[in-house]
Amino acid sequence: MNDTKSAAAPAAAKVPGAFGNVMALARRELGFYFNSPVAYITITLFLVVCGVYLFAIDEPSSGLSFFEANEASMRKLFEMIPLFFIFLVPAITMRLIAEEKRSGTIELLVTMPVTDAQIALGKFLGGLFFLVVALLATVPLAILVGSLGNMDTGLVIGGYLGLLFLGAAYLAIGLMASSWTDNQIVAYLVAAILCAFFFFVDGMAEVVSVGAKDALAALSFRAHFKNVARGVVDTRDIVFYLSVIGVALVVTMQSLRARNWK
Amino acid sequence: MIEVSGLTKSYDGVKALNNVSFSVKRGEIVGFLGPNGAGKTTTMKILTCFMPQTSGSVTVAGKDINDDPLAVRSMMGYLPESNPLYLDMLVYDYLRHVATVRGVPADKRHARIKEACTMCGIADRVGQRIGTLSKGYKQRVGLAQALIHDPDILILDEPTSGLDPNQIVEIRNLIRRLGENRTIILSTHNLPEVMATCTRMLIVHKGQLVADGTAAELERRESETQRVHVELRGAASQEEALAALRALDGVASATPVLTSDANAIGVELVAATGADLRAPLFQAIVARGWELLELRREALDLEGIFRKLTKQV
Amino acid sequence: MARQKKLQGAGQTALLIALVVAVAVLVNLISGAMYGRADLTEHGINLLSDASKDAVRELDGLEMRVYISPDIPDEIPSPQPGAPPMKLLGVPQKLRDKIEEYKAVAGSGLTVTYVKEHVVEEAKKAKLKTFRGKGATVSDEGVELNEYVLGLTLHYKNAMETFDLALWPDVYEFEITKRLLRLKDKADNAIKMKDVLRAGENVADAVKKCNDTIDAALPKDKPGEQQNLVAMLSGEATTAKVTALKAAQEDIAAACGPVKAELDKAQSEKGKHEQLDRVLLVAGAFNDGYEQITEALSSEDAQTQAQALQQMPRLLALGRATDSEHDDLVDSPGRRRVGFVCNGTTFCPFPDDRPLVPQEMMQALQQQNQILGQVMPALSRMQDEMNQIMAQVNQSLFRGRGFDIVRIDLDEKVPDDVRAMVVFGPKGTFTDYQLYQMDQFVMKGGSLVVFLNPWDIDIMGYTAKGEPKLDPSQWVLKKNGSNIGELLASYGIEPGGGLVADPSNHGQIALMVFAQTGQGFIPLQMQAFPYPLIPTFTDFDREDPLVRATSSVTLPFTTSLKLAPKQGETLTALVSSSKSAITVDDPKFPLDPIAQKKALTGKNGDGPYVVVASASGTLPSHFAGKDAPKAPDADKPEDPAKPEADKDKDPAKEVLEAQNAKKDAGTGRVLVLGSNLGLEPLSREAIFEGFNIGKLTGQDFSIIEDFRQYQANYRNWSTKVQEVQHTLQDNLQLLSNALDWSIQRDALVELRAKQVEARPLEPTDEGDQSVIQATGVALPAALFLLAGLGYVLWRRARQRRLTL
Repeated sequence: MNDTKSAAAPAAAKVPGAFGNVMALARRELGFYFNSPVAYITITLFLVVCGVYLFAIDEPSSGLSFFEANEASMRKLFEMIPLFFIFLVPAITMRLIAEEKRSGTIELLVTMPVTDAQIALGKFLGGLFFLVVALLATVPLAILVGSLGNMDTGLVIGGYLGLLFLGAAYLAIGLMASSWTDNQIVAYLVAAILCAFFFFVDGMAEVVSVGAKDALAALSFRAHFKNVARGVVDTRDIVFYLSVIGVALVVTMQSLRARNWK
Repeated sequence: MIEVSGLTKSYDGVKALNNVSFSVKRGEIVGFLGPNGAGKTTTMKILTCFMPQTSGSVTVAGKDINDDPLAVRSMMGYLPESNPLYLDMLVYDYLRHVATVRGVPADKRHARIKEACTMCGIADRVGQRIGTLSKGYKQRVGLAQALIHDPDILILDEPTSGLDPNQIVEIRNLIRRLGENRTIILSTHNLPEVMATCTRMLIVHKGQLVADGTAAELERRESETQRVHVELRGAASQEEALAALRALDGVASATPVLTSDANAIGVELVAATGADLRAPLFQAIVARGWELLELRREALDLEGIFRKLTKQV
Repeated sequence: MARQKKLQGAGQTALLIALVVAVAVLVNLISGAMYGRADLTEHGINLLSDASKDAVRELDGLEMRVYISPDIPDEIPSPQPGAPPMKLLGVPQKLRDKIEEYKAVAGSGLTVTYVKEHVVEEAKKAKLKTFRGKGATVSDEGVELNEYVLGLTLHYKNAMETFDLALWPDVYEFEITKRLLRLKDKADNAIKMKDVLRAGENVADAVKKCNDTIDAALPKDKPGEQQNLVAMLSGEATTAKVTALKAAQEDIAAACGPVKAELDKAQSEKGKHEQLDRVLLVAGAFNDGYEQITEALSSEDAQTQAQALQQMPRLLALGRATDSEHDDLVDSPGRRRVGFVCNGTTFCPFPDDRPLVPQEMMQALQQQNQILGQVMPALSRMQDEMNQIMAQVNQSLFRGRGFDIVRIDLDEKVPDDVRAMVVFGPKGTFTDYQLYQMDQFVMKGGSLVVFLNPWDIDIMGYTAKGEPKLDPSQWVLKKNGSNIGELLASYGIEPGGGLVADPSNHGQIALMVFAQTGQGFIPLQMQAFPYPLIPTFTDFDREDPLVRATSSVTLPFTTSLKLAPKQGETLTALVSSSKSAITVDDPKFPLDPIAQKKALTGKNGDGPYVVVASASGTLPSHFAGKDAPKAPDADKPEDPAKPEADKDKDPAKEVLEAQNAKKDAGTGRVLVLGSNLGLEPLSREAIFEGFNIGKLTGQDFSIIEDFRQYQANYRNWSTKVQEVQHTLQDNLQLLSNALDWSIQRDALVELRAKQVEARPLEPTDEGDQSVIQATGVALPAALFLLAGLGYVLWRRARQRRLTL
């Protein structure tokens, strides 16, 4: 061992930088999903459910089937996918940190030269890429519907954008839940319950009090999804989703750091 | 290279480490020895910045682990106690992943993986999924990931636990080779391992450092007060023999011990510091006309020292 | 120590998280105040215009109650007879979306409630109109078409607006914003009018209570029995009813007593508001009827009782009428109506229900004159057809686009709630009094919009014999003699008289191509020809909201305007021609498209000419310094079709009022457009020109000639409209803008009807549908798995190759 080498080592460590670390962690997660049957089973199930819902099940509020409604639009599906996500996204996120804790790999992970923030972000992005793949896999459906009539492409793009943001918020919540436990089942349930709560919370206004309606709607994923479901991108919704993601990631970082309290 | 001073760690009021201080110089292979629960793993987790200490300070290459944990971590390779690995990944992919996160530049990654794999003897296994490897190979993968970025410091927590004897020998050889140009701290509760691989050992017991030095140093230090075992025949009584021996110069104490021969009288003598009792004893016994059956200096070997150190306190 | 550290760590974390949450909330609050919205849809159907945003934000504490039947059918019969059925698929969703957009803009200032239970019943309570669709319910009382509701009510302070029959998504924003603006007006005016409103409300409430009590006490006639005279006279039913009413006598007296008291109290407000007077009048009649019936019932004479009972339906009808008059009273503070002047042979988009010949005369005449027996029904049919067209135009051009339009007879008093007067393409002459009415309307702050119709053009019209005039030399270009120009000149906008022709920028005329056969000429198809007399204008005043959003208009047969500003007023040229335009004042100017182009070649344009202009500021009166003309004879015979309520007015008072109010200058606004947009008058006066009942009574057979002429007139009307109809589509925006401008809803001028496109699926049969279904379920999954398989295979291959 000589002096030049020891001087070079820390310098070399900085080359990929924070972004490189995040992407490496994200890539590892993505690799896990697609190198095991989990991803294929989950996404295939999701696609079949989407296809069946769009074409074979009547829309709950109007009671019309796709062909009865006679509109070249993906909206029926896009308004239901947030509900599917409540089941799907926690399945993506449940293992992200809980599994590392259970198997002990967390020890290796946190003793590498990465910050807690990079870990949280890397895991989050890994899940997000998975979600993007799941959403991209539904594009053939959109193309199919588009081939059946004059579909409003802008509306479809808006729908995907909205689902992406909504899904990202779910993901952050799921990641947070996963960081609280080393049990994947617990992580799944907590995430699903939280997502469902934040989705439906605006509906609780009638139970609680009418005065709280706006406040609850401001918290509700569903209320923030309404705009984009009809093709309107509102900065307020984006800010809302981003702040949910931000808060959930900060909580995740803090719970990673909680090992330090011992 | 590593300076530890006054390191203390409490879990819920129980002190797992109590005021431990030591320093490791560049190029040393230090064995961290102690029974289970002595605080070895705790020390290592603190050194690798996995968890913070309650008090005391640790600096690695002049950097405080609390002030600059990222720099400290990037200098180290770490093989945790249970050798956790991402079992779903291929060996090559896993090593590449670690190399990336460890900051090995993209153009050097392949070369580093090659070197680490060759060194650890897993070059022919890079295409295999880690989950399908045997325990010994997994351990090697663990080692390979620890040295993928060619770290100055390796921290290995129980690197040979759970391996069969042949594998243990291989790993020990590997560690010795690695130690040729690195600072290594390895923990074990297995004394022969330390003797086989380490240049220096630290013994912890109940959270305290009870010994620090090379094997020879420890032996020497523990042997400084001589203990001599004597068996003789011919004295009128045990009391007489004891009184006579106690009267000798340099004898601190004499205690009777049982002998295998019913007629013989056994005495264990402890010398005052620095004195060698053997010659005066021989002369005194011979002078009294007793028969000297056995005269033996009690040598404390490492095993004994370890047992001694870890029983008391 | 460790515990302390743990607590400390947890405390720090809690603090940090609290801080992050606080920052997140703050950021959201800030972004709630400063935000942007982008519409990704193809035509940007979602976003509200600034006018709508301002309107909804101004009403803090606004409430919307939305009534949407859960089972609205896909299709309903069109409200206009003969029109194809209306598609309602997806329409409710569009209404919901639009409401959400308002909510998104208004934030907590707006509360939206969706009525979920008993929607139709609740909607009826809220006085929303329902519509009927295909579904029907069979009950004891027969088959009844199901009722549906699609609409909402808007509540702000004490004021309320309803938007029902929301079947046209294109105008949702317009309709809702219009009502928001009205709501604001209402809430503001309601404060000023609160005594009037309260008096009306008290009276109406008392009447309603009384009416309901009587109605409840009265045994109900079974259906079918109502008309049964025998049963009615048999006295059985009567006795039962009288008994029932007597039993409830005390209740009725208690409920109806206050009516008189409230009426007396309200007398102090009488005369302050026209609509209140109307409420009081009807309520008074109700009270009188009630008192009579009560008196009659209390007598023991069965005959008197029976007579009283016969009066009962009338009483109840009066009760309901009071209620609806009261609704109008409540509505009146927000009303800004557009009046269409129907004198001077204008385009007057109202069905004319007055029969050409009174019914009773008709029979007598037909017996008297055989020919009349054939002509009269044909005339009636023609009139019916015209009425239908007018009803359609009324709906599609005006009501359907959100305008509350009323017919104005300038010989009568102009209703108070008319804020704007439209004179559309006048061909005839106005009397002095009629001009005076328009002038004073402007002087008192009203808006006058005039679409000029300077020339009478007959291209390829029909002769009285029913033959098309194919020879261009027979085509007529003739100046109209309307005197509206005199009035406008007083305001500084003088119609130039000449027609604007632009050889380089112009639209087309659609002319019929005929085929000659042995039977005569048979129309084949319409063909479009370039036509300089239908110039296209692209020069707009970009600062004026009226035309700001317009890119081009093509006005058929438009005259130029000369602007000569009077002192104190501002004249704005809104639309001008290009420099290449000229004006044509020669009746011999060729109308044949090819000849016309030829006549213009080589002519140097002397434009630009102004074709649309507005005047505002202080306008001088046309009658400044003159005496006000006299109103037409107040004792003239009652017109049978005149609205009934007008009967109660004191004409003398009107005259007095008018006289008192004569103003020599005022702050109204005037908008003049050089063209009638191709909308020729289709009035009795225009088609049955010169018709005179007196002519029928004699043994004069010229009636047949006349009839032929009427037929030709009617046919020519439709020819003229068809020839330039294609330009109207493009000019609708200008027309709507002009009307909005006129009622001083500048905000609405900016509001465009959004293009909401239906996006139906291409028709598929059952078999195709199941194929599509199967594809939809299997295709994405299959594609995904295929891609997955590819990846797995690649990974395997790589794994095998992987060496160091």
